[in-house]
Amino acid sequence: MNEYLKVLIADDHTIVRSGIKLLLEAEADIDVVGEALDGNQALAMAEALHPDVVLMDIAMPGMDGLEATRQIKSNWPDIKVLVLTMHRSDEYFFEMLKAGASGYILKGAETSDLINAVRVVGKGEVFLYPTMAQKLVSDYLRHLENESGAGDSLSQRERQVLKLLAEGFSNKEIAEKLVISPSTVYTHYSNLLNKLGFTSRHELIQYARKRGLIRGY
Amino acid sequence: MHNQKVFIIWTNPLFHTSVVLLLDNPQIEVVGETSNYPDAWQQISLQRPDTILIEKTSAGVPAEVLDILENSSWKVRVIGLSLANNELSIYHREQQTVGQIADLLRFILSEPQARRESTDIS
Repeated sequence: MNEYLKVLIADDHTIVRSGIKLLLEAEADIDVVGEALDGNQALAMAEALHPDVVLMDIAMPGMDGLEATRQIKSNWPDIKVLVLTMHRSDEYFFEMLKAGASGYILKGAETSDLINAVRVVGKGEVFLYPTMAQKLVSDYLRHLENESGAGDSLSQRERQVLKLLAEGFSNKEIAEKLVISPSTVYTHYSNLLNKLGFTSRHELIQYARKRGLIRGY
Repeated sequence: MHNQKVFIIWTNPLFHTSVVLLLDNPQIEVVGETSNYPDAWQQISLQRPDTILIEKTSAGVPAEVLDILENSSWKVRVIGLSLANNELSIYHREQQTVGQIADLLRFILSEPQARRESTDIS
């Protein structure tokens, strides 16, 4: 069994990278096995050193932390990525989680939180900085509201129309398939837009894809 | 033996911890530190450091830099660092006596050797 948590630091910022290295190496159970200045180096060092945790900055020259995380998780799923960044924005946060990051901590965090986050992620658990975790909960609740609230209000016929719309059929073709008039299809289409709060066919199709109404998505 | 006294003004704990660890050098003595910018001057005037290391945030150069340079009666330089990039900025005061208008012109036309220097530390 590996006694040390092997950590790779990927950050183009010299002061941060060097400081964190000293900070982590002061911990008896953590070993900093490498330092990468950009995403390309992080990828190469992940392959060569196979760390337990990659402490990953997002904004780096060349390959950024987002793409590096995608590739690391794709090639070596057991390597955990903990994001360490100045970015508080929703966009970066959700993109990094989608890319496979197991944790997200801000550079404004207490150093004890950073050390704790490394250990938590190293154990295979998830660490989210409190303000970022709040974003996730809010997004999840909004998602639930959209998915169940509006989605549940659809009639059986509206669901059928939605599915066929999403599969690319025209109103006329849908009318033929469901043996109803094109004007009735249009009424269902209008109801779908109103109930789901959308304004276009494109949004309906995206919604249907997210809900898995189209095969292959 | 210490021969350089350094004072640290910081915003983010990670900056503070990193810098303190990196300054672990027998020739450097960290004589003080604070995250309270308005109160920094009181401590600085007591400690009279040779260098003040100040964390630059997204707001840019802290206003305290000018206050420190204006009010210090000893030779001091201020180094600005940020967690966001690798830029290291050095600020210092240069004072000369103008006896004739030619002194002013000579000063303006001389090499602007960094009233504010900036360098990349990557």
